[in-house]
Amino acid sequence: MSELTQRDSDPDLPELDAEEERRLAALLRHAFAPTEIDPTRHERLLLAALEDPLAEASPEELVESERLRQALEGHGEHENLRLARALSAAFAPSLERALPEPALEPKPRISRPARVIFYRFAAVSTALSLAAGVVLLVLPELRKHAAEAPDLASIALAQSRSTAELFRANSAGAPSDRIDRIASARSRDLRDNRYALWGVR
Amino acid sequence: MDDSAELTAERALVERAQAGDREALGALLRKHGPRLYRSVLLPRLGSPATAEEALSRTYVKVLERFDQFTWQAVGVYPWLRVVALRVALDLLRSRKRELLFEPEHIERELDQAEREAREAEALERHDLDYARERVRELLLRINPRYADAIRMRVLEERSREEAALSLGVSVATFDVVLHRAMAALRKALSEGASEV
Repeated sequence: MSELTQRDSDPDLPELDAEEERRLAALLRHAFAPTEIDPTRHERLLLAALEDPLAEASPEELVESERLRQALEGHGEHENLRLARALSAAFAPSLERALPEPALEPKPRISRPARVIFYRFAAVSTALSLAAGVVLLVLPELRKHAAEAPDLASIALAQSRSTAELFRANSAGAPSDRIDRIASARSRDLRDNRYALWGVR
Repeated sequence: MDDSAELTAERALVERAQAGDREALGALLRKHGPRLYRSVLLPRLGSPATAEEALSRTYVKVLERFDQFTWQAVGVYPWLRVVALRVALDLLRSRKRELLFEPEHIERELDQAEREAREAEALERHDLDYARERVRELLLRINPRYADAIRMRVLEERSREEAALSLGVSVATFDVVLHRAMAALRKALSEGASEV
Protein backbone atom coordinates (compact mmCIF):
# COMPACT_ATOMS: atom_id res chain seq x y z
CA MET A 1 0.00 0.00 0.00
CA SER A 2 1.74 3.17 -1.13
CA GLU A 3 1.44 6.12 1.23
CA LEU A 4 1.67 9.78 0.29
CA THR A 5 4.24 11.93 2.00
CA GLN A 6 4.55 15.60 2.71
CA ARG A 7 7.05 15.74 -0.15
CA ASP A 8 4.34 14.71 -2.64
CA SER A 9 1.98 17.58 -1.92
CA ASP A 10 1.92 20.92 -3.68
CA PRO A 11 3.72 23.38 -1.37
CA ASP A 12 1.58 26.21 -2.72
CA LEU A 13 -1.70 24.72 -1.58
CA PRO A 14 -3.71 27.25 0.42
CA GLU A 15 -4.41 26.76 4.09
CA LEU A 16 -7.81 25.16 4.42
CA ASP A 17 -9.61 24.87 7.72
CA ALA A 18 -12.28 22.28 8.41
CA GLU A 19 -15.15 24.71 7.91
CA GLU A 20 -13.91 25.85 4.52
CA GLU A 21 -13.34 22.25 3.53
CA ARG A 22 -16.94 21.40 4.40
CA ARG A 23 -18.18 24.43 2.48
CA LEU A 24 -16.31 23.42 -0.65
CA ALA A 25 -17.55 19.87 -0.37
CA ALA A 26 -21.12 21.16 -0.10
CA LEU A 27 -20.63 23.33 -3.18
CA LEU A 28 -19.58 20.30 -5.13
CA ARG A 29 -22.39 18.13 -3.84
CA HIS A 30 -25.08 20.71 -4.52
CA ALA A 31 -23.82 21.24 -8.04
CA PHE A 32 -23.39 17.58 -8.78
CA ALA A 33 -26.53 16.21 -7.17
CA PRO A 34 -28.80 19.02 -6.00
CA THR A 35 -31.48 18.15 -3.50
CA GLU A 36 -35.14 19.18 -3.48
CA ILE A 37 -36.33 22.10 -1.46
CA ASP A 38 -38.24 21.06 1.63
CA PRO A 39 -41.97 21.36 0.68
CA THR A 40 -42.91 23.00 3.98
CA ARG A 41 -40.17 25.57 3.68
CA HIS A 42 -41.11 26.22 0.09
CA GLU A 43 -44.75 26.76 0.99
CA ARG A 44 -43.82 29.19 3.75
CA LEU A 45 -41.48 31.05 1.45
CA LEU A 46 -44.10 31.20 -1.29
CA LEU A 47 -46.87 32.44 1.00
CA ALA A 48 -44.57 35.11 2.38
CA ALA A 49 -43.77 36.28 -1.13
CA LEU A 50 -47.41 36.29 -2.19
CA GLU A 51 -48.46 38.46 0.71
CA ASP A 52 -49.13 41.97 -0.48
CA PRO A 53 -47.57 44.49 1.93
CA LEU A 54 -49.45 47.32 0.23
CA ALA A 55 -52.90 45.74 0.41
CA GLU A 56 -55.67 47.94 1.79
CA ALA A 57 -55.70 47.97 5.58
CA SER A 58 -58.66 46.74 7.60
CA PRO A 59 -59.98 48.88 10.50
CA GLU A 60 -58.40 46.45 12.97
CA GLU A 61 -55.06 46.79 11.23
CA LEU A 62 -55.28 50.57 11.42
CA VAL A 63 -55.93 50.42 15.17
CA GLU A 64 -53.15 47.94 15.77
CA SER A 65 -50.68 49.84 13.61
CA GLU A 66 -51.35 53.01 15.60
CA ARG A 67 -50.89 51.12 18.88
CA LEU A 68 -47.62 49.68 17.63
CA ARG A 69 -46.44 53.10 16.48
CA GLN A 70 -47.11 54.56 19.91
CA ALA A 71 -45.45 51.63 21.65
CA LEU A 72 -42.36 52.03 19.50
CA GLU A 73 -42.25 55.68 20.54
CA GLY A 74 -42.38 54.71 24.19
CA HIS A 75 -46.09 55.23 24.87
CA GLY A 76 -48.03 52.18 25.93
CA GLU A 77 -47.50 48.51 25.26
CA HIS A 78 -47.94 46.27 22.26
CA GLU A 79 -47.41 42.55 21.90
CA ASN A 80 -44.99 43.14 19.03
CA LEU A 81 -42.90 45.69 20.91
CA ARG A 82 -40.93 43.04 22.75
CA LEU A 83 -40.29 41.28 19.47
CA ALA A 84 -39.10 44.52 17.91
CA ARG A 85 -36.83 45.16 20.87
CA ALA A 86 -35.44 41.63 20.68
CA LEU A 87 -34.71 42.09 16.99
CA SER A 88 -33.04 45.41 17.64
CA ALA A 89 -30.94 43.99 20.46
CA ALA A 90 -29.94 40.97 18.42
CA PHE A 91 -29.07 42.99 15.35
CA ALA A 92 -27.14 45.82 17.00
CA PRO A 93 -26.77 45.26 20.75
CA SER A 94 -24.32 48.16 21.07
CA LEU A 95 -26.65 50.78 19.67
CA GLU A 96 -26.92 53.64 22.11
CA ARG A 97 -30.40 54.59 21.01
CA ALA A 98 -32.41 51.51 21.85
CA LEU A 99 -36.13 51.12 21.46
CA PRO A 100 -37.85 52.68 24.46
CA GLU A 101 -38.88 50.55 27.37
CA PRO A 102 -42.61 50.57 28.05
CA ALA A 103 -43.81 52.78 30.89
CA LEU A 104 -44.46 50.66 33.96
CA GLU A 105 -47.39 52.73 35.25
CA PRO A 106 -49.03 55.80 33.77
CA LYS A 107 -47.99 58.76 35.92
CA PRO A 108 -50.04 61.96 36.33
CA ARG A 109 -48.20 64.85 34.80
CA ILE A 110 -47.20 67.52 37.34
CA SER A 111 -46.79 70.98 35.98
CA ARG A 112 -43.75 73.00 37.01
CA PRO A 113 -45.55 75.79 39.06
CA ALA A 114 -47.30 73.19 41.23
CA ARG A 115 -43.96 71.52 41.90
CA VAL A 116 -42.37 74.88 42.88
CA ILE A 117 -45.21 75.61 45.32
CA PHE A 118 -44.78 72.18 46.82
CA TYR A 119 -41.05 72.74 47.36
CA ARG A 120 -41.66 76.17 48.94
CA PHE A 121 -44.31 74.78 51.26
CA ALA A 122 -41.95 71.98 52.27
CA ALA A 123 -39.11 74.43 53.00
CA VAL A 124 -41.30 76.73 55.11
CA SER A 125 -42.73 73.79 57.05
CA THR A 126 -39.25 72.45 57.75
CA ALA A 127 -37.99 75.83 58.95
CA LEU A 128 -40.98 76.25 61.24
CA SER A 129 -40.54 72.76 62.64
CA LEU A 130 -36.86 73.39 63.36
CA ALA A 131 -37.61 76.70 65.00
CA ALA A 132 -40.29 75.11 67.17
CA GLY A 133 -37.88 72.36 68.17
CA VAL A 134 -35.22 74.87 69.15
CA VAL A 135 -37.70 76.84 71.22
CA LEU A 136 -38.91 73.70 72.98
CA LEU A 137 -35.35 72.71 73.82
CA VAL A 138 -34.03 76.09 74.82
CA LEU A 139 -37.04 77.54 76.64
CA PRO A 140 -36.95 75.18 79.65
CA GLU A 141 -33.24 75.87 80.00
CA LEU A 142 -33.84 79.59 79.83
CA ARG A 143 -36.64 79.28 82.36
CA LYS A 144 -34.41 77.19 84.58
CA HIS A 145 -31.61 79.72 84.35
CA ALA A 146 -34.10 82.51 84.91
CA ALA A 147 -35.39 80.77 88.01
CA GLU A 148 -31.92 80.24 89.36
CA ALA A 149 -30.63 83.62 88.32
CA PRO A 150 -28.88 85.30 91.25
CA ASP A 151 -30.16 88.46 92.81
CA LEU A 152 -27.78 91.07 91.49
CA ALA A 153 -28.32 93.26 94.52
CA SER A 154 -27.21 90.52 96.88
CA ILE A 155 -24.09 89.56 94.92
CA ALA A 156 -20.89 91.35 95.70
CA LEU A 157 -19.51 92.05 92.29
CA ALA A 158 -16.17 93.52 91.71
CA GLN A 159 -16.61 97.21 91.14
CA SER A 160 -14.90 99.08 88.41
CA ARG A 161 -12.02 100.94 89.94
CA SER A 162 -9.07 103.03 89.12
CA THR A 163 -5.74 101.50 88.32
CA ALA A 164 -3.99 104.06 90.46
CA GLU A 165 -3.56 101.80 93.47
CA LEU A 166 -1.98 99.16 91.31
CA PHE A 167 0.59 101.67 90.23
CA ARG A 168 1.15 102.80 93.69
CA ALA A 169 1.51 99.33 95.12
CA ASN A 170 4.09 98.19 92.64
CA SER A 171 5.65 101.39 91.52
CA ALA A 172 9.10 99.85 91.57
CA GLY A 173 8.47 97.61 88.58
CA ALA A 174 8.95 98.35 84.95
CA PRO A 175 5.99 99.82 82.96
CA SER A 176 5.32 96.58 81.08
CA ASP A 177 5.12 94.66 84.37
CA ARG A 178 2.59 97.12 85.64
CA ILE A 179 0.46 96.77 82.51
CA ASP A 180 0.54 93.00 82.92
CA ARG A 181 -0.57 93.22 86.52
CA ILE A 182 -3.42 95.55 85.59
CA ALA A 183 -4.60 93.24 82.79
CA SER A 184 -4.39 90.22 85.06
CA ALA A 185 -6.38 91.95 87.82
CA ARG A 186 -9.03 93.05 85.37
CA SER A 187 -9.33 89.54 83.97
CA ARG A 188 -9.73 88.13 87.45
CA ASP A 189 -12.50 90.71 88.19
CA LEU A 190 -14.24 89.81 84.99
CA ARG A 191 -14.10 86.08 85.76
CA ASP A 192 -15.39 86.62 89.29
CA ASN A 193 -18.26 88.72 88.07
CA ARG A 194 -19.17 86.18 85.47
CA TYR A 195 -19.11 83.29 87.94
CA ALA A 196 -21.19 85.33 90.37
CA LEU A 197 -23.81 85.99 87.72
CA TRP A 198 -23.92 82.31 86.72
CA GLY A 199 -24.31 81.32 90.34
CA VAL A 200 -21.29 79.09 90.40
CA ARG A 201 -19.10 80.91 92.73
CA MET B 1 -52.54 15.33 -18.17
CA ASP B 2 -50.56 15.45 -21.42
CA ASP B 3 -48.23 18.27 -22.33
CA SER B 4 -50.70 20.27 -24.40
CA ALA B 5 -53.42 20.04 -21.75
CA GLU B 6 -50.90 21.03 -19.13
CA LEU B 7 -49.86 24.05 -21.17
CA THR B 8 -53.50 25.03 -21.71
CA ALA B 9 -54.14 24.88 -17.97
CA GLU B 10 -50.97 26.85 -17.35
CA ARG B 11 -52.01 29.53 -19.80
CA ALA B 12 -55.33 29.92 -17.99
CA LEU B 13 -53.45 30.37 -14.72
CA VAL B 14 -51.16 32.93 -16.33
CA GLU B 15 -54.13 34.96 -17.57
CA ARG B 16 -55.76 34.91 -14.16
CA ALA B 17 -52.48 35.86 -12.49
CA GLN B 18 -51.97 38.76 -14.88
CA ALA B 19 -55.48 39.91 -14.03
CA GLY B 20 -54.34 40.19 -10.39
CA ASP B 21 -55.31 36.75 -9.05
CA ARG B 22 -52.57 35.94 -6.55
CA GLU B 23 -53.84 32.43 -5.99
CA ALA B 24 -53.31 31.69 -9.66
CA LEU B 25 -49.81 33.09 -9.50
CA GLY B 26 -49.23 31.03 -6.36
CA ALA B 27 -50.28 27.90 -8.23
CA LEU B 28 -47.79 28.64 -11.01
CA LEU B 29 -44.95 29.23 -8.56
CA ARG B 30 -45.90 26.19 -6.52
CA LYS B 31 -45.51 24.13 -9.66
CA HIS B 32 -42.25 25.60 -10.97
CA GLY B 33 -40.52 26.92 -7.82
CA PRO B 34 -39.02 23.63 -6.65
CA ARG B 35 -37.57 23.08 -10.10
CA LEU B 36 -35.98 26.56 -10.09
CA TYR B 37 -34.44 25.76 -6.73
CA ARG B 38 -33.16 22.32 -7.71
CA SER B 39 -31.83 22.97 -11.17
CA VAL B 40 -30.99 26.68 -11.31
CA LEU B 41 -30.33 28.15 -7.89
CA LEU B 42 -28.88 25.47 -5.64
CA PRO B 43 -26.26 24.20 -8.10
CA ARG B 44 -25.07 27.72 -8.90
CA LEU B 45 -25.16 29.22 -5.45
CA GLY B 46 -23.93 26.17 -3.58
CA SER B 47 -25.86 26.42 -0.33
CA PRO B 48 -29.49 25.69 0.51
CA ALA B 49 -29.77 28.89 2.55
CA THR B 50 -28.53 31.08 -0.30
CA ALA B 51 -30.66 29.20 -2.81
CA GLU B 52 -33.76 29.71 -0.67
CA GLU B 53 -32.99 33.39 -0.36
CA ALA B 54 -32.58 33.56 -4.13
CA LEU B 55 -35.88 31.77 -4.68
CA SER B 56 -37.62 34.20 -2.38
CA ARG B 57 -36.14 37.15 -4.27
CA THR B 58 -37.14 35.49 -7.53
CA TYR B 59 -40.75 35.30 -6.36
CA VAL B 60 -40.75 38.96 -5.40
CA LYS B 61 -39.44 39.94 -8.83
CA VAL B 62 -42.00 37.70 -10.51
CA LEU B 63 -44.77 39.40 -8.54
CA GLU B 64 -43.48 42.81 -9.55
CA ARG B 65 -43.06 42.03 -13.25
CA PHE B 66 -45.55 39.36 -14.11
CA ASP B 67 -47.65 41.76 -16.13
CA GLN B 68 -44.69 42.06 -18.54
CA PHE B 69 -44.72 38.35 -19.35
CA THR B 70 -45.94 37.44 -22.82
CA TRP B 71 -47.28 33.95 -23.28
CA GLN B 72 -44.99 31.55 -25.15
CA ALA B 73 -45.67 28.13 -26.57
CA VAL B 74 -43.23 26.56 -24.14
CA GLY B 75 -45.04 27.95 -21.12
CA VAL B 76 -43.96 30.22 -18.29
CA TYR B 77 -40.98 28.28 -16.96
CA PRO B 78 -38.33 29.73 -19.34
CA TRP B 79 -39.34 33.22 -18.25
CA LEU B 80 -39.24 32.25 -14.58
CA ARG B 81 -35.82 30.68 -15.12
CA VAL B 82 -34.46 33.90 -16.59
CA VAL B 83 -35.68 35.83 -13.56
CA ALA B 84 -34.02 33.26 -11.27
CA LEU B 85 -30.77 33.39 -13.25
CA ARG B 86 -30.70 37.19 -12.92
CA VAL B 87 -31.17 36.89 -9.16
CA ALA B 88 -28.39 34.28 -9.01
CA LEU B 89 -26.18 36.59 -11.04
CA ASP B 90 -26.69 39.43 -8.58
CA LEU B 91 -25.86 37.14 -5.67
CA LEU B 92 -22.78 35.76 -7.37
CA ARG B 93 -21.51 39.27 -8.04
CA SER B 94 -21.87 40.18 -4.37
CA ARG B 95 -20.27 37.00 -3.06
CA LYS B 96 -17.23 37.22 -0.80
CA ARG B 97 -15.92 33.68 -1.14
CA GLU B 98 -15.29 31.37 -4.01
CA LEU B 99 -18.25 29.55 -5.50
CA LEU B 100 -18.24 27.02 -8.29
CA PHE B 101 -19.81 29.45 -10.73
CA GLU B 102 -18.66 32.85 -11.83
CA PRO B 103 -20.98 35.69 -12.88
CA GLU B 104 -19.74 35.16 -16.44
CA HIS B 105 -21.27 31.68 -16.44
CA ILE B 106 -24.70 33.08 -15.62
CA GLU B 107 -24.38 35.89 -18.15
CA ARG B 108 -23.66 33.32 -20.83
CA GLU B 109 -26.71 31.30 -19.81
CA LEU B 110 -28.87 34.39 -19.94
CA ASP B 111 -27.64 35.16 -23.46
CA GLN B 112 -28.48 31.65 -24.48
CA ALA B 113 -31.91 31.84 -22.87
CA GLU B 114 -32.76 34.85 -24.99
CA ARG B 115 -31.79 33.05 -28.17
CA GLU B 116 -33.77 29.83 -27.67
CA ALA B 117 -36.99 28.76 -26.05
CA ARG B 118 -37.14 25.29 -24.51
CA GLU B 119 -39.70 23.57 -22.38
CA ALA B 120 -39.36 23.23 -18.64
CA GLU B 121 -38.16 19.62 -18.59
CA ALA B 122 -35.56 20.25 -21.28
CA LEU B 123 -34.30 23.32 -19.46
CA GLU B 124 -34.10 21.43 -16.19
CA ARG B 125 -32.05 18.68 -17.80
CA HIS B 126 -29.80 21.29 -19.36
CA ASP B 127 -29.28 23.09 -16.07
CA LEU B 128 -28.51 19.95 -14.11
CA ASP B 129 -26.10 18.73 -16.78
CA TYR B 130 -24.44 22.13 -16.95
CA ALA B 131 -23.78 22.14 -13.20
CA ARG B 132 -22.37 18.63 -13.26
CA GLU B 133 -20.18 19.54 -16.18
CA ARG B 134 -18.87 22.49 -14.20
CA VAL B 135 -17.90 20.14 -11.39
CA ARG B 136 -16.14 17.78 -13.77
CA GLU B 137 -14.36 20.69 -15.35
CA LEU B 138 -13.08 21.83 -11.98
CA LEU B 139 -11.92 18.36 -11.01
CA LEU B 140 -9.92 18.18 -14.21
CA ARG B 141 -7.82 21.09 -12.98
CA ILE B 142 -6.47 19.24 -9.96
CA ASN B 143 -4.34 16.15 -9.45
CA PRO B 144 -6.29 13.04 -10.59
CA ARG B 145 -5.84 11.39 -7.19
CA TYR B 146 -7.29 14.49 -5.56
CA ALA B 147 -10.14 14.40 -8.04
CA ASP B 148 -10.74 10.74 -7.25
CA ALA B 149 -10.75 11.44 -3.53
CA ILE B 150 -13.32 14.21 -3.96
CA ARG B 151 -15.44 12.20 -6.36
CA MET B 152 -15.64 9.16 -4.08
CA ARG B 153 -16.00 10.84 -0.72
CA VAL B 154 -17.84 14.07 -1.56
CA LEU B 155 -19.87 13.38 -4.70
CA GLU B 156 -20.60 9.70 -4.32
CA GLU B 157 -20.52 9.80 -0.51
CA ARG B 158 -18.64 6.55 -0.18
CA SER B 159 -17.11 5.62 3.18
CA ARG B 160 -13.58 6.65 4.10
CA GLU B 161 -12.53 3.02 4.24
CA GLU B 162 -13.86 2.26 0.79
CA ALA B 163 -12.35 5.39 -0.71
CA ALA B 164 -9.01 4.69 0.98
CA LEU B 165 -9.02 1.11 -0.30
CA SER B 166 -9.81 2.29 -3.78
CA LEU B 167 -6.93 4.75 -3.70
CA GLY B 168 -4.61 2.15 -2.19
CA VAL B 169 -3.83 4.12 0.97
CA SER B 170 -4.63 3.86 4.64
CA VAL B 171 -7.71 5.63 5.98
CA ALA B 172 -5.57 8.15 7.83
CA THR B 173 -3.66 8.91 4.66
CA PHE B 174 -6.90 9.23 2.75
CA ASP B 175 -8.05 11.92 5.17
CA VAL B 176 -4.92 13.88 4.40
CA VAL B 177 -5.35 13.35 0.67
CA LEU B 178 -8.93 14.59 0.81
CA HIS B 179 -7.87 17.63 2.79
CA ARG B 180 -5.21 18.45 0.21
CA ALA B 181 -7.69 17.78 -2.57
CA MET B 182 -10.06 20.36 -1.20
CA ALA B 183 -7.25 22.86 -0.80
CA ALA B 184 -6.22 22.22 -4.39
CA LEU B 185 -9.80 22.73 -5.54
CA ARG B 186 -9.97 26.01 -3.72
CA LYS B 187 -6.76 27.10 -5.35
CA ALA B 188 -8.20 26.14 -8.74
CA LEU B 189 -11.35 28.14 -8.03
CA SER B 190 -9.43 31.23 -6.98
CA GLU B 191 -7.26 31.01 -10.07
CA GLY B 192 -10.06 30.00 -12.37
CA ALA B 193 -12.08 33.18 -12.75
CA SER B 194 -10.17 34.14 -15.87
CA GLU B 195 -10.22 30.65 -17.32
CA VAL B 196 -13.95 30.04 -17.51
